[in-house]
Amino acid sequence: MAALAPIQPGLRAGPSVERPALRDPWWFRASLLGACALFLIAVLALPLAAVLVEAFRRGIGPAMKAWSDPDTKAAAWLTLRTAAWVVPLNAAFGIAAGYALGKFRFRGRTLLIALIDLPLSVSPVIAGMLFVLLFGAQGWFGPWLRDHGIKILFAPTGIVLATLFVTFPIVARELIAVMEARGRDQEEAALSLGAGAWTTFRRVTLPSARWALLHGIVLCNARAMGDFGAVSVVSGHIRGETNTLPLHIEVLYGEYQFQAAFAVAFLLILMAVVTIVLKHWFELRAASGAAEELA
Amino acid sequence: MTRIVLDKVSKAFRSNKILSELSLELESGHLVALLGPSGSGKTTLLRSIAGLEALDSGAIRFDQRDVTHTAANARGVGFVFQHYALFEHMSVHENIAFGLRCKPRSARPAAAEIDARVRELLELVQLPELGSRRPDQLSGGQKQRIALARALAIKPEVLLLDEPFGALDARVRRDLRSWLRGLHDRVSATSLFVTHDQVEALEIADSIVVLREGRIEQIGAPAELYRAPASFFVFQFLGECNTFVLDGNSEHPRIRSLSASEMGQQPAGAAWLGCARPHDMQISTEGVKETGLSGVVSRVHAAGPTVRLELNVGSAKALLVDLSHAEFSAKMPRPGETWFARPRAMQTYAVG
Repeated sequence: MAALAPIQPGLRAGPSVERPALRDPWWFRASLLGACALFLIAVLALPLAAVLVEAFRRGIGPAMKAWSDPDTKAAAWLTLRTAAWVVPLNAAFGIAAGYALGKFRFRGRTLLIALIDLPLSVSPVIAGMLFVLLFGAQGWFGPWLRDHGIKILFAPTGIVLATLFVTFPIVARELIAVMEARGRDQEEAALSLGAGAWTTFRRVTLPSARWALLHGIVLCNARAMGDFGAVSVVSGHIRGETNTLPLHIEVLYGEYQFQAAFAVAFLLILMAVVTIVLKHWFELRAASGAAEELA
Repeated sequence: MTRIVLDKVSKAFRSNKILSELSLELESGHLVALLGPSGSGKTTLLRSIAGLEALDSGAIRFDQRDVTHTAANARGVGFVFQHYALFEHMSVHENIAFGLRCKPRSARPAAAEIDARVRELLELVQLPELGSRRPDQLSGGQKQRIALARALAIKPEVLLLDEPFGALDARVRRDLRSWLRGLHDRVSATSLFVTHDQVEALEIADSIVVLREGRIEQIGAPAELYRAPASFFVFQFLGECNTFVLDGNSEHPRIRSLSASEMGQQPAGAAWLGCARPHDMQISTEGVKETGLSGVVSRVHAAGPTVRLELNVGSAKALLVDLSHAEFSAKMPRPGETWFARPRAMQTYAVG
């Protein structure tokens, strides 16, 4: 049963050979699979179906109306804009961190890796609070920012900053793992062949981690578009101005516009589906890129 | 061709001395083996020559050119890694062309010229049809040959190989090493390869450098080294051996085997150790008191070019005796029987 084979992401699976010795009794396999299926239905399929049903309960018309609402458009635009800032910045940061931490050993390396993981372990709300503490009217830099007419909190800048913070480990972690696993042999080979540091990085290091990078970017994008907690704290919920799609959905829901809320939620889910399809494709490429070229 | 000179090179990792004031000259055009147990500093030495490791002190010269502080990418050294280190995202062709395509624009050959050179190298390593493959579609032996072609593309004067066959099957290994010898004779480079396999070193090298704890234990041509190992360490490292303690005076030495408590340390009271290869042992039913050892045959292994006997002489290690099949059939020693053994030829080393 392939379903119960150990999952080893990133490794190429051999031809799936039935291994009788490792085969569990049918009732055990069936109950495990059943439990999995039930769980998935309860927490994934049913809620998704509910969103779909609610969004189109009264046909496509009202859904279209919700989508063409200026506030929705503004929210979608802000979400995309935020992602457009956050993803390249975090990709660049992730590449730098992956290269430095994955390929080199130095004092303080473990500490740095732990710090990079920090945003994943603190609640997004706390991440948002940090920015309020720094840039809020009563915050450290608040008065200075006010004097110079710079608006960070309750403005797109703050949203971008908060999203950056929340998503910044994603690409980095992915690349650190891959680059560490690859080791430095290929770089040393390039060096001995006369390549300079930049050529080595551009033509050897980066291409050999390209699928991990794309995978990280896709995940980072998903998180950047979907984050609620941190963004909610710094955004100020100004309709049509500082509401991202997740915040907008919450506002609509709070105003009992269920149908519109679900219609917008459907938009966000659509973005997520595109992301997941891309992610899956990249994983396949990463795992079996070579195998498929063999054919 | 280039003569490589190492002048008192030292290297330590933290307080751990890897190379201590090691000096060495390698004849231009030679194929030299760096032989030593793991931790003897042989890989560090090789990487230092390539510029992949920085020395703490000492100098490295290629002919008259001091390269001690030259960056790895400016040394013009070909390096072959134990685990191939092929660029996985490039085709075989692109791998081999890499060094040429990296050259500064002024020194870079035209694209057509690069292609021709790659094809020539593929011919040289006898894999002309594999140019469009990816590295992960190659076998280990093929990968290493491509890695060699890639290193040779830049026409290095110095070719360094770090355990080039270490990751391969015994059989592929054997084929590749005689092939490497042939290849070396056709390209004009001074080659240095690291190995911990004495058979490999003895078989293909022009000369062998035996390393031990960051120092040179002995340098010499293979035959010379095998005939006269300069130390007990080299003797042991070059092949299987039986070790004895020699007691008594020099005219009438008494020979006895090492007892279990004497293994790995200096035998008390003895001034000399004797070493003999298994094929330099002879057996008889009659013992000679001073120079013979008696033991019970514990194992007979006749499936090979010679017959191997293991004789349990009461020491920690069984005595190894190799007999020709003719001698074996004449004497017919069987497991469980008691036989006397003594060395036909023996090297002696002072203890300490």
